[in-house]
Amino acid sequence: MIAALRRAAALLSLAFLAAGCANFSAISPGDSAPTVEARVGAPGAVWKNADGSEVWEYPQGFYAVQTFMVAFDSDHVVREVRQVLNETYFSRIRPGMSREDVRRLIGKPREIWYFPARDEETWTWRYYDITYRFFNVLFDRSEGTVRTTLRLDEILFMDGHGRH
Amino acid sequence: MSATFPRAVLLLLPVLSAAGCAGFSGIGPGASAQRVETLVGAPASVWKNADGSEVWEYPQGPLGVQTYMVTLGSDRAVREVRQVLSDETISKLNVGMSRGEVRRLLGRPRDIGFSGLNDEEIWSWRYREWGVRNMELYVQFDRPTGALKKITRFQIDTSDGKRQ
Repeated sequence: MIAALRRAAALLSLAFLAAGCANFSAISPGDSAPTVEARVGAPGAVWKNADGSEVWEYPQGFYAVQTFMVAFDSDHVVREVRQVLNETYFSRIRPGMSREDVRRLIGKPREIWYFPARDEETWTWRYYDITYRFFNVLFDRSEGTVRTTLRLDEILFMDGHGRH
Repeated sequence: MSATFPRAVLLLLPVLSAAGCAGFSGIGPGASAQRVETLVGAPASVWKNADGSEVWEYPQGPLGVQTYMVTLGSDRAVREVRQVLSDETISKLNVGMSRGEVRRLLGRPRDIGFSGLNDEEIWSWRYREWGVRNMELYVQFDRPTGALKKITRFQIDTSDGKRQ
């Protein structure tokens, strides 16, 4: 019964995911800001650049594996739409980058944990690459700079023992 | 000759450090408490049971992937020696357990973190599955109640995103 419910929930989330993708794929370079809002709603965050260009950030939720960034030119038309939770963007993260650098690159993390003994702050994103995976950026909490990154594959217990 | 000697010492070093780990394999059932202290030193923690038996906990360094538990009977003789950072022990964890119960199963965590989002405390360990796969374990506690909420195991991807 629970397994069936879980399966139904998984199928539903896939359907929502597909719907999410379809919306963003309907945005093309040259579209106006109102068109973008009409198709995919208001962004979760807006990043303004000095030259008048903007990036609109669309995280897709806690269990999602995609975050979309819609980049606008200074004349407020779409330049590009990118799904940033993948290696293309992860590989650009370097030690010493700030929290904002990381946030602008791959968007809002699903979770932030901090570890006092190591003065470490860990930001986590869920993504999909062959399997569901987690990408972590480990910051020096006081300095606010990237120490390193960590990729984790969740291993599920075969018998479901000890799981939530 | 003088050059050969330091080289011999260098060659001996890994053997000596391996012997450090092997200290626990040298403790057999029936060995005395004094014998244990001679072989592997004083424990980091001692857990006393109601029946007079004791468990001595030996985490292997602050960032170690092994923790040994030596159980002594009420007669102060060794009953068993176990390396507890393994899937076998982890499978004994259950939702609802207290921090104390988890601590007695797995020993001192490598690190303790906090989540601001859900008021959770996260205990983490690193271990080696089958002696080869580098694993990370997170045990999440609900802070207000102190009860275990979620157990997650991850395989650490050391390919830096270049996994095929």
